[in-house]
Amino acid sequence: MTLTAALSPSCYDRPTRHGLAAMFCLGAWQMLPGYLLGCVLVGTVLTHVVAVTSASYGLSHLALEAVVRVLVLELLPLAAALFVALRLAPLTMQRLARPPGAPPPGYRALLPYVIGSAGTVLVLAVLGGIGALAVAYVVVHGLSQWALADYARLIGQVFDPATAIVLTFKLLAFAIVVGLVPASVALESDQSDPLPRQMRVMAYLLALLILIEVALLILPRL
Amino acid sequence: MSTPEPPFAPPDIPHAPQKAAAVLVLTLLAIVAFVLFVLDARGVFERNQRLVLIADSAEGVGVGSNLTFSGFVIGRVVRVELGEDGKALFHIDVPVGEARWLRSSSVFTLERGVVGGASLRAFSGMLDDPSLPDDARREVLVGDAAAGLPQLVVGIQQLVANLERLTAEQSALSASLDNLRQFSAALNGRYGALSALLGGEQNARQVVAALERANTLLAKADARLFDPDGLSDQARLSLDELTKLLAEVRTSLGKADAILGDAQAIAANARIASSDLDALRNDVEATLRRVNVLTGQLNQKWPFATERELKLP
Repeated sequence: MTLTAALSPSCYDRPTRHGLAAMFCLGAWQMLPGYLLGCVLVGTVLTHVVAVTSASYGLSHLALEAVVRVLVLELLPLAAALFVALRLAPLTMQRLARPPGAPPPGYRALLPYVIGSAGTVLVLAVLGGIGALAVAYVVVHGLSQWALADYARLIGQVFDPATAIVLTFKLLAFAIVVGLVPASVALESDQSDPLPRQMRVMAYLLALLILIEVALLILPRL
Repeated sequence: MSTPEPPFAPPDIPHAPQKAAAVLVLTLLAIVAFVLFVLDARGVFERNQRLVLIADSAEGVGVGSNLTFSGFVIGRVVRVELGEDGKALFHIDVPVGEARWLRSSSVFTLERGVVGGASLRAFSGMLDDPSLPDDARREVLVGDAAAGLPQLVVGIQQLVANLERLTAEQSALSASLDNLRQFSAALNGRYGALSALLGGEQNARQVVAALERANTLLAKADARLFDPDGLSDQARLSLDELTKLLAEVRTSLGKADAILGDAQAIAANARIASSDLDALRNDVEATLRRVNVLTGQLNQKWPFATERELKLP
């Protein structure tokens, strides 16, 4: 029902929009510089390692493709989801925890948390992935412009329709899970001790993320 | 007086809508730009010319594989299908701008390396030939580096088996090496190669002793033959005496022949009575010839004879 409400424009009244903007700022705006920096560092190290290793085996032409497939398609979306889960899920669970006997919040009150977290996952994954692509090019080819055509062809080759669909589905699944699972504490009436409940939710969230990652690694090859 | 924060509301952030809008716009722009970039990289916005390559097998070639010319990518496989004749058909999109490298005389190859996928290559030797038409179908020449691997592996296995058989403890090579070692040890022994050749020191010792005896014998023979008053000198003296004796015989016989001739002339009227003398003369001449022959033979048999010429009376 929350997802349905998220797709209904009428649900986005002024307080909801304001709350959504606040969650976006808490997530995307504040995390973006650090996350991009982390992507650049990890991308640089990983690209360098893969490039040097593949060059030592005479397979340097495969290095960039391996980096793009491993880093951009697999690692960075999962890293973005985990980043957002660690940053926004505790806040979400804390804000949505209701005192004993209080009525549960309405779906409209959940929207800023769900959509804010999900949108933050998408923003970080997309911008981090593009940043990693740029870093991989610079690490392998330097600042030369003459390898751009080959690199573009390689990216076009990697992002074939099937891969693009799987990546899109994976990002959406990560976003939905990171948005919905922490918000599910609002539906629980047992408010005895919030800490074990939050730990359980986080473990559940992590398990779901890994399950999605593994399933989308295996399913397209079946 | 500030308005109370509604329950379950996120914390308030200054300028939150503007910041959120900026992030959203940035992300949307990045997504749109990336999608356009990928579509352009995949050749969606280019006009393409279709080329169909025919090969026996599609192994190693898939959708997205590149067609290269002089190492540069000029086309991309967009479809792989199995033809009615059981051959693999590679449908390749070549951008119109790159199609100028393909001519009607171009040759296409499919090379499969040991590592990595297959590579499709185009070779255009005559760039002045007519351009390759759209939807052209060409056969592919296949060069497979891995095709010979199974044969190579079988050969290597046989080689290893042969090596194992050669180097086994009971192998002929091992026995030969043992023999060679024994031969080498015999060579380094007291009698050297002689002991190695004859198969033991006992035999070598006997041969050496025989050689020593032969040397002694030769020394004695040499002394008896060629010393002063040896057999050689005695033989020469005997020959000289024999030659003189024969010369005297020849002279005597010549005189007898003359006497007989005179007697024959004197007793010509008594031919009947002297017919026996003719026979006697003939016998004497025959004897003289035999003596001459004997003398010649003796001269030939004794190379130290100085006079080979023999004059008949």
